[in-house]
Amino acid sequence: MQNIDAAEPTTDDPFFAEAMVHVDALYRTALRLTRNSADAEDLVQETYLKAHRFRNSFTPGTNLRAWLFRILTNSFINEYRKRSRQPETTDTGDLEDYYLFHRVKESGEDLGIDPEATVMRMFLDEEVRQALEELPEQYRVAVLLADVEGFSYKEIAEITDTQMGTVMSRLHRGRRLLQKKLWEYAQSRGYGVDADTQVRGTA
Amino acid sequence: MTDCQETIRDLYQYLDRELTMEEVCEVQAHLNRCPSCYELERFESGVIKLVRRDCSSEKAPAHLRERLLSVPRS
Repeated sequence: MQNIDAAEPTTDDPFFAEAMVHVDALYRTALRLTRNSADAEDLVQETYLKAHRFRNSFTPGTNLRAWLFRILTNSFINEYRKRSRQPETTDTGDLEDYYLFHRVKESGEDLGIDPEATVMRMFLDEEVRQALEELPEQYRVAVLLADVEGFSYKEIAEITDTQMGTVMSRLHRGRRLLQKKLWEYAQSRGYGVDADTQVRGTA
Repeated sequence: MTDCQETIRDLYQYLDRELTMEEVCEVQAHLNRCPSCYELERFESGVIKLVRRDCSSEKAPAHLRERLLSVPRS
C-alpha cells in the first residue's frame, strides 16, 4: 500500500493514486507528441481510462511508470496513424554523428572550460521544444523517453515493443536530427553564419 | 586501452549509463587523458541536459487532474 500525500484532490483507490503520481510526466510527454494541450489532455485521459480498464494486467511491484508510458505511446501511435498517415520513418540520410558539436567547432566557437554549460546557454527552451516536436514520431518518442524521462534502453524497448538495437538506432538518429534542427535555429538567429568556411580538423 | 574511435562510438551509451562498470572505467580513463574526447563528452552531456531542462517544466493542469480522478468511478 502506498501512502500518498493529500496535498491535492486525490482518490482512495491505491492503484489509481499511485498512477496519478506520474500525471505530470505523462502530460508533458503527451504535449510533445500531440503538439497541443487539448489533444494532450485527451491522450492522458485515454491513458488513465485504459490503465483503469486493464489494471488487472499490471503486475503489482513491477514498473508502473513504464506501463503507463506504454499505454500512452501505443494510444498516441494508433490514433495518430489513423489521423495523419505519416510515414513510419523518415530518412535521416548520412547525417553526421554529434552534428551540433562539429558545426559549433567549425564556427570557431570556444566552448570554454565548461562545454556542458556553454551549450546549455546556446538555446532557448522554445527552440528545444520546437526542434523536438519537429522530429518524426518514432525518433521523438525515443528521445523523449530517454532524454526527458530517463528510461533505460531496455525500458524503452518494452514501452515501444521494439528491440534494444532499434531503440539505440532511433535514439541516435533522433538526437542527430534534433541537433541539426538546433543548429538551423542558431544560424537563423545569426550564429556562426560567416564562419562556415573555417573548418577545423578534429583529432 | 580505449581509443578515440571507441569512445566516440560508445559515447551515448556511456552518457545513457548503458555500459558495464568495466566499460565505464575504460571510457573515463580515456576521457581523462584525451581533451578533445572530453570536450565532446561534456558538450553532448549538455545537449541531453538541455533537452531535459526545457521539456520537464510543464505540469498537468488542475482541471485535467480533477477529470482523471473520476476515472476509477467510471
